[in-house]
Amino acid sequence: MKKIVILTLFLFFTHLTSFAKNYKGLIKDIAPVNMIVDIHEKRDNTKLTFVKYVYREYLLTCGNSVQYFPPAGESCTNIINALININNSVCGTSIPQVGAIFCGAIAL
Amino acid sequence: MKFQLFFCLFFISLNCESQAVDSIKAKIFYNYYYTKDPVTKVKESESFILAIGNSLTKYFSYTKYKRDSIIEETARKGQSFESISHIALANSSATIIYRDVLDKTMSVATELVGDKYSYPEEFNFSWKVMADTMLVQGYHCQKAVTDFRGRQYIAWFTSSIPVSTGPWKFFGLPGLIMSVYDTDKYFVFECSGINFFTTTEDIFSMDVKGYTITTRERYYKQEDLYYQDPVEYLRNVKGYNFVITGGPEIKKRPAPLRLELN
Repeated sequence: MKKIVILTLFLFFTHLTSFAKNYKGLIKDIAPVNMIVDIHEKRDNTKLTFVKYVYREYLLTCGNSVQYFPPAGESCTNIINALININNSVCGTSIPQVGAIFCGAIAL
Repeated sequence: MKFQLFFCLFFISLNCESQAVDSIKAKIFYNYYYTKDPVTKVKESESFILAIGNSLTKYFSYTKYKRDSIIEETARKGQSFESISHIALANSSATIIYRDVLDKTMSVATELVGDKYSYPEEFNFSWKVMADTMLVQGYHCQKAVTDFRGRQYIAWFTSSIPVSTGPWKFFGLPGLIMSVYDTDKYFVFECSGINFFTTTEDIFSMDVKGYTITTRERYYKQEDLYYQDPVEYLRNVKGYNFVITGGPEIKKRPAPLRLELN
């Protein structure tokens, strides 16, 4: 039975930071998502499952889950903003976009 | 350390793209209460700032400004976003309204699903000043009424602050508009505070980089297209590849009420 990990956008914001802290210097602001996933999949630790799914399936703020497949090479900022747009469309929220600095911190 | 320096320089250079054209003389804070759905009549609220310079005014969301500042500060410090996620995910408006008092021009910068649009505005208000008076935030105010794009508005302005401006797109009275609302009270703007500046803070002119210049009519047409079916808009117009995999049934929502009916 495959484990399906559904994460909220709330958790996304939270875990993206902790993920970044584990990989200081490896992740660039414009790093392709598949690269980030590849980096993580090389690691043999308990966070593997989480990372494998973190860019795939999300629980929106209104309780719907979505699978989102960004184009290859999509930037971190664009992925987060796409998820915000999906949340706004499905849930009727008006969450504004985030700027590059949100992902800029991840590159530090 | 090198990365930190790089990002500091990078963001400083980004900020330099906008040019300061005026200094803020006063900041007027407004609470904006609005109704999205005329059936449920549920009111939502947001805070806005009207920054007033010698010739330029800028009206923007204080809620979004605070949110962006907190995100920026958190990112710069390299802190966890956990404690601010409720702020990062809060609803707020990305619309900014610039008005040049000398040139008598107004431009609206806004966003639709992450795409930036800007359009010029050209209109005048025809106010009828009444005898009624009222105190708003301790200021003696006088009543004025006008019709604007399909709604009738009641405004309270104070001659004690002799600037012919107000919240959103309102202007044209012989004093600052402290409170204004439509007769249905679907949209209510109320002054919540005033800061007069003794030190200088710049108002930045609009940076048009990344904005699609359009007209109000065309922008609203695009917005209508989005509200007809927001999910399909993302797939067809934005080209997003996503699948809704579970959760409650997605109800079709009516497009939110607009201040402007025509």
